Amino acid sequence: MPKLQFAVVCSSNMNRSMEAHRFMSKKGYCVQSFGSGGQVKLPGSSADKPNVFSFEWRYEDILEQLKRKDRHLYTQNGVLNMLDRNRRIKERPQRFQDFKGKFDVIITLEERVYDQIMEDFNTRESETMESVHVINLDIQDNHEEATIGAFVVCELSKRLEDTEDLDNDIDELLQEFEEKSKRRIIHSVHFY
Amino acid sequence: KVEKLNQVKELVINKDPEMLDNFTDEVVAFQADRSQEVRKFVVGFMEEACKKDPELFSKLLRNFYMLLVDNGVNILKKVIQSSTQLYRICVQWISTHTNVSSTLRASWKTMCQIQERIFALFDSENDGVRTQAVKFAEKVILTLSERHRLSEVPKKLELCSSLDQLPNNHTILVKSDLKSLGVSLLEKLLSFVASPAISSVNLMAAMGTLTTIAKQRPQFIPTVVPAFETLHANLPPTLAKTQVTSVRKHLKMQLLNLLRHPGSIEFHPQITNLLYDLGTSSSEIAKNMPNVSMASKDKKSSSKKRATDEMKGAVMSQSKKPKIEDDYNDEDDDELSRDRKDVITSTSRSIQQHNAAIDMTADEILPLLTSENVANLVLLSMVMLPDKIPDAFQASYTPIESAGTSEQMKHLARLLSIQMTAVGIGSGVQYTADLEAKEKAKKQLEKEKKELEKKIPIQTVIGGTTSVEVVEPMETKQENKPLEPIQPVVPIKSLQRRMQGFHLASITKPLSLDAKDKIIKMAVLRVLKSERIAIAGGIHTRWQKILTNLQVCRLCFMFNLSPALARFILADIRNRSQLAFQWLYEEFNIYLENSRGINDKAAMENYDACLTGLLQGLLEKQDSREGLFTKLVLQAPLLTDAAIKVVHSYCEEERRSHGAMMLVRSLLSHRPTRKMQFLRVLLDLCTFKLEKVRNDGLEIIQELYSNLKYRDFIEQYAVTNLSYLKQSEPPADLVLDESDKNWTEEQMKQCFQLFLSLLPLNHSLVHRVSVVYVEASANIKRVVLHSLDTPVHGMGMSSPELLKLVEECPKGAETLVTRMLHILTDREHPSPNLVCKVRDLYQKRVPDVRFLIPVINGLEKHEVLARHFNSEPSVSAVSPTELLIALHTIDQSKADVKFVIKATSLCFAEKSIYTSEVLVTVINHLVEMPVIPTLLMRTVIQALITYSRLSGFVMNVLQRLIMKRVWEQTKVWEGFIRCCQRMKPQSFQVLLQLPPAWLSNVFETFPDMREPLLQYVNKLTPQQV
Repeated sequence: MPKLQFAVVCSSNMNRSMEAHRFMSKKGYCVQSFGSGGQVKLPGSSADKPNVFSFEWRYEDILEQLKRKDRHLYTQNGVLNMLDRNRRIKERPQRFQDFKGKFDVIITLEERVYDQIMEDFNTRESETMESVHVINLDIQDNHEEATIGAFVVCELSKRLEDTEDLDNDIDELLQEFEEKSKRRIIHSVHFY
Repeated sequence: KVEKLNQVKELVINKDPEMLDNFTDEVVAFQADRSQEVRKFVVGFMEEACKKDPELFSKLLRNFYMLLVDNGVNILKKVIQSSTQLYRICVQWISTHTNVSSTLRASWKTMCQIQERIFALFDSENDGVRTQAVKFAEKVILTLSERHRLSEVPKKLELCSSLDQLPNNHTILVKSDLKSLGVSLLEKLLSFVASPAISSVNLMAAMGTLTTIAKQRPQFIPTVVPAFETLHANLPPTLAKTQVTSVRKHLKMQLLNLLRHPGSIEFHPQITNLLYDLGTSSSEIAKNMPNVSMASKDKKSSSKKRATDEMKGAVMSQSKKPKIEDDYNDEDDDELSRDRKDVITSTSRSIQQHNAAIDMTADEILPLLTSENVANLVLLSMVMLPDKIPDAFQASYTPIESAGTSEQMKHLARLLSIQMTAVGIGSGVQYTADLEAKEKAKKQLEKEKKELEKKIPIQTVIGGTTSVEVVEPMETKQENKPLEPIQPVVPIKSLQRRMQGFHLASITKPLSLDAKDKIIKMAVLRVLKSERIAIAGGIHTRWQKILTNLQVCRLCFMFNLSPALARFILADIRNRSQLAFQWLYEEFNIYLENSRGINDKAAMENYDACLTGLLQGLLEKQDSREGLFTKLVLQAPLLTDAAIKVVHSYCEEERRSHGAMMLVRSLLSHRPTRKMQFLRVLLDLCTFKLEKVRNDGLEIIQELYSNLKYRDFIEQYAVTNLSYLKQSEPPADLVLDESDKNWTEEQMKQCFQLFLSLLPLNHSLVHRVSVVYVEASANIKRVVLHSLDTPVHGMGMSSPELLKLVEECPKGAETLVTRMLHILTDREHPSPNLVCKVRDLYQKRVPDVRFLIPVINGLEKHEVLARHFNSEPSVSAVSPTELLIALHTIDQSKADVKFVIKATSLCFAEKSIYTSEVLVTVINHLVEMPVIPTLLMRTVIQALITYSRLSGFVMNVLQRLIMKRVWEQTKVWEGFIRCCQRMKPQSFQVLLQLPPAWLSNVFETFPDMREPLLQYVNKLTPQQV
């Protein structure tokens, strides 16, 4: 049985998806991470003034930019730290809608993201009819929750990976997982 | 291997297409390889090959077909996936060949087989396979239908394929055939979606498929939208809660998708309604709305409910348009029309009729919808509701906003009517049927109805807003008016339906509760009866296990097996005791499992019922051995209050009380947590009305009293009971006969016996007796006095507490103290200490001589006399008789005879008191004593002197003395002779009765008696001698 191809998607491909990405690749899963939003957003000096970047920016560049802006503030809120981690994982944030590869399982970390992914699949044409499972787990967008969420995502991935026949077992598996983790799960199936 | 093969594939297909033909066979030979991966690769290879060179279809389709029976799920999925793409290519390939060869024909046949096979996989057990099959269906249906003016065209043109690309008169691919095939396949897909056991993944895949079909083939929108509506109203009950959420979310997405499609404008009201129901905000809907004309917008905004009302009917009719269309096509191929509108006109008549039927029935129902009727309907259908709210219902339920308004009632009537028409009842149906018959279009109508039936299963309504009211239209109908004949469905036609998977749930009906009960009961009773067989078969223990498990299984409690089982056990208790225990423990187990749970109480009650039932049964069974009862009580894991009550009543039986109380005693030590309860039982028994029971209880309590732990409790109880005596009426719980409020002796005993029995064990309690005694009524006093014997003896006269009581003697308790003194001195001499106390009492506080009497033997004689003089004999409690007797019986060694003589003479002096009658009594009494008192004769003589008329009596006494061999006591003998002398001559007669030796002794003492006696003898007549 070949390894499952995972994608973890959050809004900006910064915190949650990257934490999960890091954690899962450390555990040896085939995983890629994405953002689904229009832009990459990072907390700014106040809640209504976020730092907005396009998906073209490299993590490295964002890091430098923010360092220049207010080194103290962004060290304080952990953003620099996060960016530093991210640039060790990959070069730049990726937008899911622009990616052409295929996955077996896509894990979204927020319901809005899940909706965007669904929307994306609706606009895509199905051709080969290879199925892909889209699963949503709600994880709050902060460092602590991201770390916990990475564990949960990894646990879920392990279960998905371990099963013999994913298409057949996923219903039951998700229900079990839902019960155990006490997290609400949304799931649907789409086709490439 | 796969890697190598991959290289080959790369080489053959992409680099050098010429070699493809040569290598295909070699590669395909691997399809029998053992490795799944290799086989999967072969499928992929074949797919690629076919895409590259469609000519290979003729060769490879067979292989595909063979691989479809592969048991590797992954292979199967891959094959379906490939087929999904190849189907279209295959159709195109065939269509390009104008001259028909046999291979071409064969290839198409195989392709059709593949397609059939894959559709059959809708019933596969594997979820993934089903999902792929759904996707395959999507492509096939798209291929087998025509493009439409509003069709959404895929971006990649080569992916697009539709019937209109085909040449018009192809020999193999007959367009109309293909079209109808496509429609029937769509129907299969729809029925798959509507199946109640569909999994969420399948459902979502199918929904996506339906949307794609609807978007690319807008002519199917009228089919798809109602399918979604039905689905929304009737989500499969098997879905878990979050799955429902996922599915609804998916559905919402699909609907928004549809909404955007320009071909769906006509259906916007339904779609928006559904979206509202799914929780979409109106802004979101508006955002996804294509440019809509003002008119339709107005319509939508007017009233949501109303829109549904109106549209329902339209939906019903439109939903079957395509089907009618294809019916039509079956009949006359040439009339194939591109425009849907034409179809409508051509079949509008039947639709109108159908609508008319619905309207008619609805109109009829409307006035019947009084609140009473509706309430009845709701109540009726309550029975049909499942035990648990299905997740689907819970997720989709929205409260009815406008309940009770005429609009809502219209809506309701219409819904009912749709349901009824669907199953073919109601006047409207009848009416249209008649109409149809006249027009000889009956056949078509039936077909239509049949399809409707298929389309809307009765349960569909569960999720709807009016759910409850319409669950069972059949019953509804019966309530309202007589059932009208249901239109017969032509049986041959129904055979044409697709074979459906066997779903037990769909063809069975739940049993009625009564019937279920009865069946369960009968089954259990059969198990009960099989005891002997079980023993014979050596599986007795298992039989017991089954029974106990059955028993505790909650199902059984619907009719409550307990009494039956208890009866069964009691019928042969000796052999079934083991079963009883097993049952009991099982109940206890359940209780433990449930403890702290919600069923805690119920489990406890069950256990309680079990235990008390068994105990009660044993109690009532007179012949049963007591051992079993004891065993059961001792071994029960937990004794409930009710059980203790049974034990209590068990103790109250005279016959069993002793054993039973021993049981309670052992319980007292075995179950320390409840020991006080048991103690209480024992104490209660000590005041029970049966004396035997009471005594048994007292025995045990006396034993327990030595235990300091129980002491206080027992004492308290005893005191409480004792204090009842102070009241004028006996306490309520002792009264047996309500009318009689007076104390009976038995009741009094009930009250004080316990206390008195404790007296010897704790002397200090005696003071309490006196307190109560003082306050009690005369009647009670009497009984108490009578009952004092044993306890006071038990205490003995050396008891310091008793002495204290004597010393303190509360006012009013004199009689009590006297009685005690009497009892104490009854058999033995009063101790000096006691005497001393009494004397003190007498001297210092209560100058009542009655105290002295009991201890009189211990008093100095002068004291006795002194007291006597001082007292007023007439008021003395000691009667003159008693006094005199007492004086006579004073121990010689202690009292000087002279004092006694003095005392007696004083008595005699009191002639008014010591009348002859009194003296007679005294003398009579004295004579009867075993040892005749010394002073007797003196008293006799005194009496004779005082009352000479007593001579006759004295003679009698003398004679009795002879009988008692009076001569053996010297003193008395002297007195006797003296007396005789006084009594002569009457006494001669007596003297003659003396033995000769003693007679001569008389003469020796009184020589002068000799002569008169001789004369007397001589005078005797011969008869007298």
